[in-house]
Amino acid sequence: MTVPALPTQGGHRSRSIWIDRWSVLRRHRPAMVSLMVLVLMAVFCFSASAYASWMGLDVNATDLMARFNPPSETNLLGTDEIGRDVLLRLMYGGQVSLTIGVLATAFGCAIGVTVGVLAGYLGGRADSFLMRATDCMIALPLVPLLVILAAIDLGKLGLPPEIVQSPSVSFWRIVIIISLVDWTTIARVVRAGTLTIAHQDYVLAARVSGGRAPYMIGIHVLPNVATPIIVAATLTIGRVILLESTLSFLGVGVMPPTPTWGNMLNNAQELASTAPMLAVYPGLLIFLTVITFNFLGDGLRVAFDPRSQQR
Amino acid sequence: MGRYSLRRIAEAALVALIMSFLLYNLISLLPGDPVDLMLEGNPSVTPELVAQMRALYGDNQPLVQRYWHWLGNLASGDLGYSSSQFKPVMEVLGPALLQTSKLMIWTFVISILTSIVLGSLAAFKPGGWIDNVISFFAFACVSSPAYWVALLFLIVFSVKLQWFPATATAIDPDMGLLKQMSYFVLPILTLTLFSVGQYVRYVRASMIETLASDYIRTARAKGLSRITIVRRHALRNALVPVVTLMALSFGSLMSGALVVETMFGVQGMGKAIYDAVMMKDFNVAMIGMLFATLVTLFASLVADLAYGWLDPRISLK
Repeated sequence: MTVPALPTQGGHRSRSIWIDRWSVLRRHRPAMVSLMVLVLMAVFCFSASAYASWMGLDVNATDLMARFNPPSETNLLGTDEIGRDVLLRLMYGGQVSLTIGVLATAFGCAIGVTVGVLAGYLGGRADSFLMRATDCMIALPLVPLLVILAAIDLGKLGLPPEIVQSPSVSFWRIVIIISLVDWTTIARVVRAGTLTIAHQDYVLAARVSGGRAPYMIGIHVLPNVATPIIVAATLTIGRVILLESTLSFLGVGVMPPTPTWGNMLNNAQELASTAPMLAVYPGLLIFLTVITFNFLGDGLRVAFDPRSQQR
Repeated sequence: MGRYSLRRIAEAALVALIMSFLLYNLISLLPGDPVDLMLEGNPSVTPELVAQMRALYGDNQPLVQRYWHWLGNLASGDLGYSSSQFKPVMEVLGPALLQTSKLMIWTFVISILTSIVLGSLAAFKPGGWIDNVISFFAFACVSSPAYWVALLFLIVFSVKLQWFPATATAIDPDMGLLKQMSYFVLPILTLTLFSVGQYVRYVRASMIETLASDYIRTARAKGLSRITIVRRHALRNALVPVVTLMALSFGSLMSGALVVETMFGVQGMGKAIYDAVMMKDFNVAMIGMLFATLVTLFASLVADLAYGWLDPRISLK
């Protein structure tokens, strides 16, 4: 006996929820503008080496005869206090800042998701312990804490000297310390999500059928808390970029000559009266990047909210 | 209520103790150690002398013991000695606390009032042009690096226009009050922008929710003006959830204070902590950090207890 195919209701084809969400997001104008700005920003930053070879410039080449040059055909935004091309340094600096933003957020997410899922899934003592720990983390003043973490002597932690003295250590140190302090929002969001999911009937059914914790978390919990994680992570990237630039500005972040937007501003601070524009460009780029991440996060929040789904 | 408060206070005290231990561990990981720093550049140092000094300062004992010793001193009112400024920690951080409190209290008052007004205005008509302008302003505030705003203010108002002095290090108590205040205008303005951005969004979200409730519709049906509705009916209810968020933001205000104080040369707590870390002044860094943490813990405790007072429906168990 053959079962006749059911007619699709009202002529609607079934659509993936992601297509629905995308169509809501597309109507959120600030988020769409932000997305475009971010793509352009990434292209701008990551075309640095192509631009350098095309213009025949070197990011760290100093020329004391060409200090504070005004914008010209070779140096589109002029040169800085030791004759380096400002535009090229902005591009390379952006690469570093964006990479730190994404990496530190990814690591922070890993910590936050672990803490949140464990707290929400295990409940009871484990939950109250983990959430108290999260509260403690929130009570610590972020920037002073990061300043201390950035100044810590890695040798005292027992790391071998070849790692402590390697040039990329300041980059990785910033990534790690920021992710160590900035996971609390994600942990709370994930815990709240896990709590709701873990008490749904279908999850209970899966549990009585003998589903083990790793399976339950992987199949039922994580996919259902994915959307709030995406929203929180987007907002976190913006905050991480701000924190990184603050630390580099205070002189405890990524060390020169590697440019970042933050340490370019550190240089510009002393030159505020001679070359104010050097202080304007990097700050403007940080501002633009962070505000677009914030608008995008806000748009995603609206798009992922089932109450705002209009078909 | 009484039992809940007591339990909450005991809990906060325990947390404070644990935090102080963690901070002590963290600070001891800073480069160098106190004895080396003290004997630095002294040509007549012998290994025996170093060993004696270490024994004297208890530097050769395990960390937990040193922590107990430090805690005992703290309990008896001895905060230790600043190795960079050669005076007791109390005399370093006392005046710093005064400067920071001036900065914080002004900032807190101005930004709460501003954000209540702006947040309520935005909530009248969500999505309207007033809301869009205010929301964009709030986003811009939380997205701009505080030090960059400070730098731009310095370039524009201190260097170009010369309206306000650039650095507060020149402050002395003999100046007139007005003159002293002029040093604080730019730091307060920067710090206010930084916190208004957050608060406006809290107030707006909470106010939109409150204005959608039935009793507000009743009030509107009675023909009350929008101002009266907000002031008499909505404000108190809308502020309940905002209070906790504001209390918790004390820590982030402290973060902002570090940056702003360093930029404008205000000799406050934030700058004291930053300088102490840079100069490897362990005692000052420790007490400064601990104090900043305790203030946030205390603020969130007060917010928790104030909840019951602001909203009688919340029964505290």
